[in-house]
Amino acid sequence: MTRRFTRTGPATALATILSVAAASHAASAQDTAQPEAPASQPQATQAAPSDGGTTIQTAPGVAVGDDAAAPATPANEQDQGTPATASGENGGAADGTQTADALVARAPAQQRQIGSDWPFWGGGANATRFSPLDQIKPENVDQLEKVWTYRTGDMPTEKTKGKYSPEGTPLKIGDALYICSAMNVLSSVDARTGEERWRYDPKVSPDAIPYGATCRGVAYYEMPDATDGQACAARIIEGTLDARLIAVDARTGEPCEDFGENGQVDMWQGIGETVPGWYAVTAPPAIVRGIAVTGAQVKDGQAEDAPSGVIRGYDAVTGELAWAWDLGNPELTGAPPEGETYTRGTPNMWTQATGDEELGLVYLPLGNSSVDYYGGNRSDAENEWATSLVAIDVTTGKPAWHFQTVRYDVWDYDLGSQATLIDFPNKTGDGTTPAILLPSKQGDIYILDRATGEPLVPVGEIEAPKGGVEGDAYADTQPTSGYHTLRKDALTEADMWGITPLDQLFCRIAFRQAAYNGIYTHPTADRHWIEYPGYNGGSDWGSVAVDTENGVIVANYNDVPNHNRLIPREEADERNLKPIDEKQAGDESGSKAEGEGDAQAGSPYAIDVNAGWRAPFTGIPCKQPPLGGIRAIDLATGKTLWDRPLGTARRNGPWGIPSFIPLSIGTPNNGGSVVTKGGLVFIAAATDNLIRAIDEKTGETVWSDVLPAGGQANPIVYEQDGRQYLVIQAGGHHFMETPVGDYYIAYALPED
Amino acid sequence: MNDTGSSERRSAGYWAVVVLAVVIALFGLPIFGGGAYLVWLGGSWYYVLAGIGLLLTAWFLVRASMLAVWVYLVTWVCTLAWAFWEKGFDWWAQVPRLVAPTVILLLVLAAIPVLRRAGRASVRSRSKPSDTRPSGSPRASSEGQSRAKASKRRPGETIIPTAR
Repeated sequence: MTRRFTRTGPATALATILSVAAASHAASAQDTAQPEAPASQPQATQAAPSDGGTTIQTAPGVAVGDDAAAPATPANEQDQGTPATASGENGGAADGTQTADALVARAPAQQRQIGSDWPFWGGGANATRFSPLDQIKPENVDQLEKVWTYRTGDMPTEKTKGKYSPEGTPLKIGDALYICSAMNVLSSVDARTGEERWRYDPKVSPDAIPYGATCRGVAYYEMPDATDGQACAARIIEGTLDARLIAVDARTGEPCEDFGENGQVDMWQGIGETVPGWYAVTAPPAIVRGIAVTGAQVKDGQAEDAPSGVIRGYDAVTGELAWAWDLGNPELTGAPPEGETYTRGTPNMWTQATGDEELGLVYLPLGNSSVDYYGGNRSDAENEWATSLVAIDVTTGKPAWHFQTVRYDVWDYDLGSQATLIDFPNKTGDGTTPAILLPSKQGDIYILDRATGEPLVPVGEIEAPKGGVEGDAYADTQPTSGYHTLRKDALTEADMWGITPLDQLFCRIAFRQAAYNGIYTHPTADRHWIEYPGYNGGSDWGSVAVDTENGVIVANYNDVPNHNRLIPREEADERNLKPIDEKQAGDESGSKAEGEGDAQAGSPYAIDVNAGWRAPFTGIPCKQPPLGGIRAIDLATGKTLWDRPLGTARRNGPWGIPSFIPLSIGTPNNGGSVVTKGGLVFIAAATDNLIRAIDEKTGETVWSDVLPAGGQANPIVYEQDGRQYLVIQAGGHHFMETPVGDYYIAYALPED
Repeated sequence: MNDTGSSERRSAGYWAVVVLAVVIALFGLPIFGGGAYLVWLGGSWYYVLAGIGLLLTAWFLVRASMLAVWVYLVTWVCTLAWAFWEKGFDWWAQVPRLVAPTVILLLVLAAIPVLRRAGRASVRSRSKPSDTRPSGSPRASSEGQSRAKASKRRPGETIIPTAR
């Protein structure tokens, strides 16, 4: 099954595949859960047939040990056993802020199924974004009509103008939708009518907005042993921009008295010095066996000495800290002792984790260490764990395995996509292996054994180009998926674009002036370098949808370079680039793209990113369209079924003026899709403010409607009283430059 | 009266051509200069050559010469060939390569009547013995002379079509 994949692009394709590990890491070989160090660093086990020099720095043994055994055993009564070990270690936690008893994770519970409900951020517990509903089909989708609009009322004020990027996805359970607004206002609305039932405003300060005011969604949890009518028997849990974990009664919206202090937990504890907006939760917690697991967004690019990326598990009922995983200090499994903090500057998790109730694991797509574009003072532990998918045993808080998607990341290629649980067909042709599908910003799609982290598909190595300010410190090779990548060929000068030959020439000159040797071109300070794909992917937080019945992955992606330069400290000081903790109030107004003049204090360089690499004056991208697309991939083989640009030119044009050209061009996009048994893919995401239905078989758009604001959010599909609904937030996005709104809009077929 | 009016129209036509020439030159200069720099950086030769084509076109337009049309046609056809060689039928990729050059083409073609009148005028005025290229040729009732006015700005350099 060796797949030859070549990186062409005549002048610049230096990225060569050195080796493709053809060895199939078939489940059969891995099912035996021996305590294996390689599981923590799957690349190290790759065969490198043609070039032995490509073996990667081997991981020092990660704390796998006997934990590996736990996930291999299906969830069962052994819960009682494993925590015992854990509590032994936790007993060592210095200040005793937690009790071992609180650590006892609950037995695996029956999970609500996707269908009439949309009970998890990613649809069902498996996060496939695949709905078994089929009332709406390609044959009748053109009859879809707007049936209700709900407005959260949360719109930017003068102070927060230009900072809104709500990215919200509701949950639907029973006959209610659960929604959060950009500033974390919770509400529940009637699934039939969109009428508001309750509303809870946690009163988040505008100062708390990090990169953008974002609340991707909420989590729903039912107490396993609740009595009839007990308050908060079912609860909505959200993380807020000001780093609180909040629980309210799903029926009433009243804060849960039993959760933390009056329904909230302060996540600032143990983080140390931070300022509002530096440490913020934008994704809902993943609740596994009664433990609500969350990380936080640590605003990129500020300083080496940034808030910790610690991952914490809280009891979903009491809000008590069950465990903490501080990769820089694995001994610390609870709250840090008085006066100390979790290890600062460590890789964080800002996106959505996936829970695995059965194995008792939570899968965390980790980001990179602070700062993003310079790695000189990262610790070995940071280099080991950064930009990895980490499986943590929620019963112990210890990592079971991890899989790294980029080594020594200096491109902000953090993992943004939620991983999806699938059953992957075995190479032998019989049966399937419980697997996890992970898309990356580089566009690689990996499929790993859920229990061990071993790749079930070939993982190859790309030789990294030479050069960059850190020279030998950079990794020599980087992993790539031999199964599928959304990434296109390396750029050439001819890919430069514009509206006239003149601005095209401008971009071609910039292309020739920049350092560029294909993907993983290292950062430079003496001139610009081209990062392609840019930090928006590939696949970002919208992730992919997987039709598990037909075995089809639907992946939307960006196809956009960034034009970057490291700014030597002296020059940065002249430009007055300061980290967030040194800024005066009002230093910065409005929004700017991430990395557009970020201080990276404590490192020798600040960073300047031209995200999307747009020409000055016209604002037109230097790279030709498509700048984004959507693709269907055969799950079993990784082969592309169809691939097309996503997004029309109607809202785009020079100087930001809409062209009204209705033709498909392929715009940058942010937000994911839903695929339904009805054979439709629903997706907005692009910058054209359209929600559309795409025929899953052909890739053709079969329906679309204009949203009143940008659709940078994942849609959901549910059923109520026999009617299938499609709901999308039209919230807009400052970075995507789409109009901001506070709408949730529902579509359905006309009632007879 | 009638005559004066048409003379003014012709004059307006000429100035429109001059404006077109200026626009083309404004594109042509940086395309030539930037194109030369791009070649120096190891990039495409197209722009420096296209820049030359644009500047020549502008030059001949100012001189009210039909040669402008021929030079530009060659430039445009070469542009077309290059664009398809680089990107084939990728239409969005062709936007910067073909749209503006084709708009210019249409404008240059629209200039043909003015250029032809100017050409005839210069032929006629040349065929007259009195036309010894004085810069101050009398403002006259003769149609030919009044057209010759079109080329008055650079009287010594007009007569390109006949020169061929």
